Amino acid sequence: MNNFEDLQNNWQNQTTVSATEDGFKALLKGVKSIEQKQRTGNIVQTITIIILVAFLIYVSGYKSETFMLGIGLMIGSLVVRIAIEMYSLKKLRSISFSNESNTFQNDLTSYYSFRKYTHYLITPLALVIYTVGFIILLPLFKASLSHGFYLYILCSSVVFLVVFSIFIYKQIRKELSKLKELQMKD
Amino acid sequence: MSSKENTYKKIYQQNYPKVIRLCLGYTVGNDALAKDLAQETFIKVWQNLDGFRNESELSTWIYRICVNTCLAEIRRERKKDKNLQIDNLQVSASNDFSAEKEDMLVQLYKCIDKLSSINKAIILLELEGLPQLEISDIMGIKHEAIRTRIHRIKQQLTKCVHNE
Repeated sequence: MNNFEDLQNNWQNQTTVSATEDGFKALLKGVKSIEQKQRTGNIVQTITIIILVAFLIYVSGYKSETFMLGIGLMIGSLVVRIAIEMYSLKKLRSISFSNESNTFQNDLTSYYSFRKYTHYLITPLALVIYTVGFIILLPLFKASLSHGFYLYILCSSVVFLVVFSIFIYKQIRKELSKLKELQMKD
Repeated sequence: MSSKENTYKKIYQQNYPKVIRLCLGYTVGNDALAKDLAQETFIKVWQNLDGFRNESELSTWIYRICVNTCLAEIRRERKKDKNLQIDNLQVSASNDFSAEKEDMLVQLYKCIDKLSSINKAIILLELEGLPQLEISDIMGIKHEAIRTRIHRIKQQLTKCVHNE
């Protein structure tokens, strides 16, 4: 029977990819592109906030309480969801990859445990509130828009909600499976 | 090229082969995913390079980042796809590598994949031939505990490879 030393010997003798000049160039390009993306991300975030504030100022002119309630619920649920995502991202980025792996694993487990509450509580709640807000707005849309455009808004919203829910479900499944893997006993 | 970029290039050239091998072990030989993880590892090396304080060996520090990057990975493929990956595994291009040895290596990848994330990292570092003191430093587990653990995983792995 072969012992562990044979396994180790085979492991070390397998062919691996070595470092290449092109590989390094691609890596350096990747590094620069990430730094650029972070700068762009900050700009996009600032513009989004400006647009959102401008939109809120614009709609505050409407006297309809139903409209304000519907739009308020929709925007409010989105804002809460985005704020939680941003907080999560900040929390994830604060975990240092150069920590000892045991500490890193504990930090990561605690991060995904926090995410579990977000997924099971906040996300479904945000989706329900968003949908309620939209349903409240529907009679107003029906009264003020043409029948064709009303149908278009109705159908595209349902499609958007289904696609968005599938996307979130897949992400949740991935994160929960990671948490299970991290908590796996030795 | 700036001085940081020159240092970075040297680090990349010296450490890429061991980083990619560790990533391959983690991804059950999935070449594309391993390359992505190796790339992510080196991106984090760049981002943290200014904070490296020589408190440990540079290679220990890089191994730590690499193990943690693999631990944090969440894009793993489904079991069905993963098995296909193992079947297509190209384990060696060297001529003196017999078919029997290749089979053993494929089996080794499969057996490593059955371990928990932390045990997987420990045994991959052991397979690389790192001193147990360094493995203890990378993992943040006491030397004595690492020694016992490695002994247990070695037995488990050898048994698994031979289908005992």
